[in-house]
Amino acid sequence: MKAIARSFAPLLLAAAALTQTPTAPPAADDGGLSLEVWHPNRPATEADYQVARWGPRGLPSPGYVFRADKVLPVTGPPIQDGVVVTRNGTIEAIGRAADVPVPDGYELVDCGDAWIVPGLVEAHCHIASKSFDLNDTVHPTNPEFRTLDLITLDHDQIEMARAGGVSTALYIPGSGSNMGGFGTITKTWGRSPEEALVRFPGSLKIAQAGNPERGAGDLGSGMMGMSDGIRQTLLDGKRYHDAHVAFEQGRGEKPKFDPTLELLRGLFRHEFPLSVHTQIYQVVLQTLTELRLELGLWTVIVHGTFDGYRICEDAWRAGMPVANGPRQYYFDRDTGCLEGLAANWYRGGAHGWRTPVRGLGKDGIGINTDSPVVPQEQLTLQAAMAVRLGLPHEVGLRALTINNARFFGIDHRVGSLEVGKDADLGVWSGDPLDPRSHVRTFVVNGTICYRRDPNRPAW
Amino acid sequence: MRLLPLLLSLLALPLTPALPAQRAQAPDEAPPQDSFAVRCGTLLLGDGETALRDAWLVVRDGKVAAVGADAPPPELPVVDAGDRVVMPGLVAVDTDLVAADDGDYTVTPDVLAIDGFDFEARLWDALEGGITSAYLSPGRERLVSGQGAVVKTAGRDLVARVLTENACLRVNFGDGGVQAPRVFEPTVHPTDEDPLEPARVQTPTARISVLAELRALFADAAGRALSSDPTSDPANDPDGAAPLDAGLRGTGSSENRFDPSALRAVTSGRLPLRAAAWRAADIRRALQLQRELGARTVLENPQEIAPLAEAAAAQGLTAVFRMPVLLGRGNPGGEDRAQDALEPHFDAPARAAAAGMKVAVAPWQGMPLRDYLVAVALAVRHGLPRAQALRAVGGDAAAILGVDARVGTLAPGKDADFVVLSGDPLAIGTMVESTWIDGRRAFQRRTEGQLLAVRVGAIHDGAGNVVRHGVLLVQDGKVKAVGEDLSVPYGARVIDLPDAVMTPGFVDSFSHLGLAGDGTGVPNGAADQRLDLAIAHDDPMFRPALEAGITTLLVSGRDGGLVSGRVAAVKTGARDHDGMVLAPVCGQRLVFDAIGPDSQKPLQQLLERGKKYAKAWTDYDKALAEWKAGKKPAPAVTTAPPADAAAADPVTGTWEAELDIQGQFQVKVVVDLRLEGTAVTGTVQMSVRGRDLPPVDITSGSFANGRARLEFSVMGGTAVIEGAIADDVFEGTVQMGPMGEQAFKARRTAKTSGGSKTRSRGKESADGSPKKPDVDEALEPLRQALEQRAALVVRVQRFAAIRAVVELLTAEKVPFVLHDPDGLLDGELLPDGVRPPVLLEPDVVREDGPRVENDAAQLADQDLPLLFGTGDCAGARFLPLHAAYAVRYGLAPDRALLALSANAARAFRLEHRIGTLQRGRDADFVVFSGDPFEPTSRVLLVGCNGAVAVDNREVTK
Repeated sequence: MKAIARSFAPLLLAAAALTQTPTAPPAADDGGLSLEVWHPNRPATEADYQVARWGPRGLPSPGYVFRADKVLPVTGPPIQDGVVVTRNGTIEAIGRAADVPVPDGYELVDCGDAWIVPGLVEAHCHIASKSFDLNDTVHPTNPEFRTLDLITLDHDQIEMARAGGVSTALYIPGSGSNMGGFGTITKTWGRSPEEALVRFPGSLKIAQAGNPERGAGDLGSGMMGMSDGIRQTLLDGKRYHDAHVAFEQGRGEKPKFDPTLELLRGLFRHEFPLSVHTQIYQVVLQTLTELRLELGLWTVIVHGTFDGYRICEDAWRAGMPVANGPRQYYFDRDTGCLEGLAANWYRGGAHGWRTPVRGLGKDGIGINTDSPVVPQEQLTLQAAMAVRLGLPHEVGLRALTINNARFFGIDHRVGSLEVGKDADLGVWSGDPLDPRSHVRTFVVNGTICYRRDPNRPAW
Repeated sequence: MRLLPLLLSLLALPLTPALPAQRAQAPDEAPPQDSFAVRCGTLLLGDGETALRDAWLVVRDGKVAAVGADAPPPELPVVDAGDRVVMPGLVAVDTDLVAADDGDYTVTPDVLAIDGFDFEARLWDALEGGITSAYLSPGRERLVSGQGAVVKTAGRDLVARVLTENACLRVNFGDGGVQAPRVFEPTVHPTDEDPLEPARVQTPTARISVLAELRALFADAAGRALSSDPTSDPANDPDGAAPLDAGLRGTGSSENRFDPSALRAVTSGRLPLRAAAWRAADIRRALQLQRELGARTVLENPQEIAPLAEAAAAQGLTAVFRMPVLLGRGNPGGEDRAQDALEPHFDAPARAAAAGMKVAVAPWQGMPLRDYLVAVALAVRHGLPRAQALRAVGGDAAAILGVDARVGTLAPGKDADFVVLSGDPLAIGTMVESTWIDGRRAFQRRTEGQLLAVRVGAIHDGAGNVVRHGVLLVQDGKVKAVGEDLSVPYGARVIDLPDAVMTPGFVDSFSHLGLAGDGTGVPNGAADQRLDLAIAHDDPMFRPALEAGITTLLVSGRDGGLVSGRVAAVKTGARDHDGMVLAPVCGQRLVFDAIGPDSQKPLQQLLERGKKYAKAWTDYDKALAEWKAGKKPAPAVTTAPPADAAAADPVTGTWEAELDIQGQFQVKVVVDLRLEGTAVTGTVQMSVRGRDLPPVDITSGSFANGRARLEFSVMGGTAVIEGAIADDVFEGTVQMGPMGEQAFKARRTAKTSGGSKTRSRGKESADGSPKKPDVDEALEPLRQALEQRAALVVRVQRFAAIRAVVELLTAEKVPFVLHDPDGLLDGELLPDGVRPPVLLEPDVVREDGPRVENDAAQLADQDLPLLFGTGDCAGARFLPLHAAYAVRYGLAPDRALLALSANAARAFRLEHRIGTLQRGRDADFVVFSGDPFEPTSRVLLVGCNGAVAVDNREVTK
């Protein structure tokens, strides 16, 4: 994987080079990972993180055995008549009901004909606070801002997230300025925001083109100026990071502590990625060249709409996945076709090139809501739309779970039903991608935090 | 002449009728010295727990010298607070006494609230609320508002009034902190090098950057880095010496315009932080900042503290709350669903306190400070323990503001700031009676005991209801309310008799009291007797009857012949003649026992005469109404002016007197009087330094036994001249409200009335109005009965006569009462549905061989409404015992009670005034130590016309 990355390092800035690709798109699903997320410096374990902080695990929760006619681990084949055993916030066992006995002191929760699905992972969320004060659009770049202090978990919108099956959300600043601040990965339920924390920073929010543009001259109004502002701020962080590296290697003084640059340092240690608000082929190309290739940052595209999918093969080569949304389709005026965005990113294709290009494959595509742009509880409907427009059903499920978890480096905790992972699961009345289905019971960190009341609205 | 307005104000002020809870501030009425002792009914020390009964608060030189039960040294003057509650002066943890607008700049740590405070303003509102120390807020909006202060609410020495001018640095985590206006800082002479810049946006504009901004501000000021992450290793911050350029990237000209020393004082722990944060998320950020700064922090009005209370308590934060309600005025909010309304949490103080936080409570912005304690009581309603509520205006409040070394509690060495309360601090009707600061009285409330509240174990209201734990409220002589456990408004005189029983004042329906002759006995009755004029309100014979609970007498002369005496209704406990006369005519007594053919004829003839007379009056009233409406011009009638018949009497004429008011003003008084019977009418005119004030009518005047009494109005109040008249000299006193009594001596300068206005006001006149019939006093009672305003009392015995009377009077629709109708006891019954009231004299219990018969019980069993009358003079006082005797032999007690009250009132058409204890009726009541008919029960209180006329409580003890 690193070899691939290095081969791209002296890059291919020319469009001609980008088009020197195989004439036919490779098969999307060829076993193993179809896309390796590029973060070569990422610390091996949570304990190795220096800048980012991980939330607690293993908080007390009762022993439950959830049984249902169908259990979807996502990372493994579906289990008919399966059980998931949870305790103290963690999945202890998973398997066929016949093979996994109910341990002493555990409560059997028989979910009947339901489907048990991993808690969904939202890669782009703005609703983990009652307050929507996410944009302080005075200065172009604001690495000193963070969403960590805003989180509240007892308001309507985050309750709707639980009712919609979402257990983990990356709560990021808005796109009103080029660098809105640091996002937080949080569970959607917890006894306190501190307990619900998964990781801070979850990512650094960067917005290119579109929303940060201002006509009044108070903020950047052109691509070049905005890109340079982002670059200069990140270079401040890089110098700070380099000084730390030098100090660690015994080549210099210990740099003076700087709370703002301290967090930026984590970017260069690949402790967390960039969440880049980017869309349209030309802008996404700039994301790829400046952020991912020039500055060498772990980069996730968090919109990728309009014709951004045309860059899919280059993104695949660069290990830069896309958490796609909130739009799921794009009307191509040149062809008169309605394009399914997730399907196009996944599958690749001609997309206006002379020769078809490779897609990101089943591990490179995620789906998000940008809640409250699309309400948080409609995350599965976003995927259903993607499936309707051509994304395979199985990939649609991955795009809501393990893929988003992997993009942001939290797949060792969430995103699938596996022993040792967080006990986050939704008991669905049926296939989560079927618009008629709903969540009956929802479990976060092993605690049942939502039960649907058939006599009342879902939320 | 310049003195005139002054005098007028002198006259006007004290004579203005006092409103309940009227304020009368006397700020400079200092106690005799700065050292004195206060005798307290209850002394609260401000710690929420200690309540000393019958304790002393000793003040020396403006400081508390001692508290406790030990009597003070005899040389100290004593301020007697009676049974009142004394507590520390309230420490108001939030007020809006500084009306400073917030400036444009959003970071102003050097703004001082004290600079916006007007020391000259008299803070009546605060003093009336008992507030002696008040927090002043440096504005409400903006991110860093400035520094709060704490001041005394009164005092001569302005410097000494300041407890602290650096109480805290206020920081706003709410909407105000992110809504600063743009600032326009124009260059005075713009050039190319120094151009006009557009208005500058001030950060933060969103909550995401509030903490970032504050961190940078404090870090810059402190000259050291602050950890952005509470869990990160402090070793990352090794030196912390040089100023850190880690703030926002703003470069506006005002960025460093403030003096950052207050910010530095916060980071070094010398100045507390006051963090305004309503919403939970805002409170969380305040907690986060506190963790990073380590500063002593007070949360300001954290309404959504509940989920964070334990964390806040663990961090040692305190909180001041404002109770989110405006009492007695509109409470806006919620009109627009789309707006994110902030939901108030009344239980927030309780939740914070339960988690272990020290809390203090204040009323909402816009509430008068005089209602401060009501807001505190609301916190108790919503769960704050009483002890903590008292501390929330005492010791805890002072500690939160950092002024507890001087105020908040009463302990030796502390400032002698205290308040005297009329009752429990948290009761709705409790008011601050006086407020003392540094041993000087800053506020004194004047209270008028206009309202009387009598609390008893049970009230029999006379209308058939029994009210347990009853409260009778009396105002202006009338019943204001009767009910169970009524709240007593402030200012009421309260009489508590928790085991006693109250009934309406009793009515003796047949009495001669007040008519006793002098060597001649009670005169025979006559229809034209003006009993109301003949009876004196202070006849000493009334007293024993009054003490027995009899408040009303239906008086008449002795019976004799068909047409006997008229009946007048008089009060036994009235303070004046007007108050005594309940009804000049309320009945006509008749004696009739004829049977046989035409036996009814004399009665019929009497009624015919009465009807004719009554018709003359109804015709007149009708004609007058038509004339007034201008329909029917009547022929001109000339009426001779009334002859001046009173030239020879001792009163009529013009009287002149000089008054000397407090040795400063000489007032000339000219009184023009006219005597009619015992009534005196006329005018009073005053002149000050040669200037005449308009003459006023005498509203009530009387002359009897050589003494005259004149009531009239002056400047909205009542004045009374009272004295003896003899040989053209009228000598006595004049009473003008609280101005007190003055000697009064007038001489008659003319023996004819100057034609006072009251007299000349139109009776008949030459203007064409209809001629008024002559008043025939002999027929007046009959006319009033025919007009349903009085009753005929018929003393009748034989059943046939009874039946004849009942048939005739029922047909004529005349109210009537049967007096001792023995014939009804013989087993013969009146027709169905005819149940006239029956008046019984005391001899209702008779021995019939071995049996004892009870006439009263028997008649009551026939559903006849009973009335009791004594027919006695001195014996009238035993009326209730006669009723009790009837009860002993089988009369139902409820019937007996009705017989003594409501039945009499109803039968004589007096029910709009007496007989029941209902709203609007005369407040005539009796309070017994137990059941009214138990011989062991005593009369404890008798009220008449709203005043306590008999008070035997002490005797009973």
